[in-house]
Amino acid sequence: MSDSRKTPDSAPVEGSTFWLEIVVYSGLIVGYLLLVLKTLDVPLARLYERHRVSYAFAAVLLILLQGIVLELLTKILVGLFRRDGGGRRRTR
Amino acid sequence: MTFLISHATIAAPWLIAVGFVVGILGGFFGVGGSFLAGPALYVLGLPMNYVVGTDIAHIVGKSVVAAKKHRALGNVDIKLGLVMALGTIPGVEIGARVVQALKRTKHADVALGLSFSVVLVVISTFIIWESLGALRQRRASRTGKIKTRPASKKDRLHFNSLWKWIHAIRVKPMIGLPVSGIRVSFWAVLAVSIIGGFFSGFLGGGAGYIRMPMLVYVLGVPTHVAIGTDLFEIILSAGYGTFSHALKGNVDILIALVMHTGAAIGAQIGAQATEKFHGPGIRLAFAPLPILGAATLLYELHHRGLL
Repeated sequence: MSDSRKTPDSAPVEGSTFWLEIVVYSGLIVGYLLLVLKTLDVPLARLYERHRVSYAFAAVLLILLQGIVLELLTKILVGLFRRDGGGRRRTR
Repeated sequence: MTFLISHATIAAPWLIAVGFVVGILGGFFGVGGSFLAGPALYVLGLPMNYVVGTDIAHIVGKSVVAAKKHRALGNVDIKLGLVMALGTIPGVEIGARVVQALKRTKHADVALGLSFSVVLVVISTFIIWESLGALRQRRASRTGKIKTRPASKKDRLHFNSLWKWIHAIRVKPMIGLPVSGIRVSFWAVLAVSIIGGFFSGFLGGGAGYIRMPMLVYVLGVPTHVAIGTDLFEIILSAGYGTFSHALKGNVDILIALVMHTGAAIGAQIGAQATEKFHGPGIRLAFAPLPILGAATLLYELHHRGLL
C-alpha cells in the first residue's frame, strides 16, 4: 500500500497543547449547551410544532455551530494563552 | 431533565457519557457509532423514531470535530470524500427505499437481514486474519536494534490483491488522489460509496463499519487516511440524514446537543490517539465493530418480531 501522503496542513499538536485545547473546548461546549438549553428550548419546541422546515435548518445549524465555531474559538483562545506564556518567558 | 421536543425524561449526565464513549470510538475508528448510541438512547427511554434521527444529528457534530482533528493530522482526503458523496447520497436513498419495500414482504426482510449479518461477520473475520498477518509481517521485517515509532503511519497490508486488481482497472475517468497516494477509476470509488450509502440507508447511522474497511482493502487507502476521509464523508451523508429526519419530526436537537457535549471531547481524544497506533493495530481493534453491526441488525429483526 502506498504511503505517499501530503504533509499535514498543520503540524500535530504537542501533548500539553492538546490537553489545554481539550480543557478550553470542554468549558466552551458546556457553556454553549447551557446557553442553548436556557434560551432556545421553548422556541425550538415551538418551531418543531409549527414550522418543520425552519426547525430542520435550525437543527443542522446548531449542531454544526457546536462543532465548528467552538473549535475555532478554542484554537484562538489556546493561541492567545500560548502567545501570552511565550511572551512572559521571553521577558524573564 | 425533560426534553420538550420528544417529551422524553433523560438524565443529561447519561447522555453526555454515551456521547463521550461513542465520540472516542468515532475519532479513533472513523465510525458514527450508531450500533452503540442507538440502543443506548433506546434504553435511556427515547422513543424509537427519535432514536434514529437524534443519533444521526449527534453524529454530524461529532464527525465535524473528529474530521477537523484528523485533517490537522493530514488524515483527510477531501477530494476522495467529495467524490464519494456523489455515490453515498443515492446509496442512502436506495437503502431507505429497500427498507420501505421490504416492509411489505416479511420473509425477504429476514433473508436480507440474515445475509447482511453473515457478510458483516465475514468482514470481521477477514480483518482479524488480515491484520494479524500484517502484524506478523511487521514484526518479521523489523531489524534487530532499530526501533520503529509506534506512532508510525506507514501502512502494511497482508492482503493486497484486491486493491491492486482494482487499481489495474483503467476505466476512465481515472482520479489521482495524492493525499491517499493512489490513482483509481472514478467508477470504483462510486461503487464503494454507493455500497456504503446503501448500508447507511438500510441499517441507519453512518455505516463506517463497512465503508472504512472498503476504503482500505478495495481502494488501497492507508488506514489513517481511510479513518479521516470516512469521517468527512459521514459529515455529508449524516448532514443530509439529519435534515431529512428533522423534516419528518424524528430529531430532538436538544438531546443531540447534550450528547454532542461528551462526543465532541471524546472525538478529539480518539482522533489524537490514532497517532499512537499503526495501521494493522487500528484495523485489529476495529474488527469487532462489524460484528456489533450484525448484532444490532439481529436485535432489530428480533425487536420487529421477525426472528
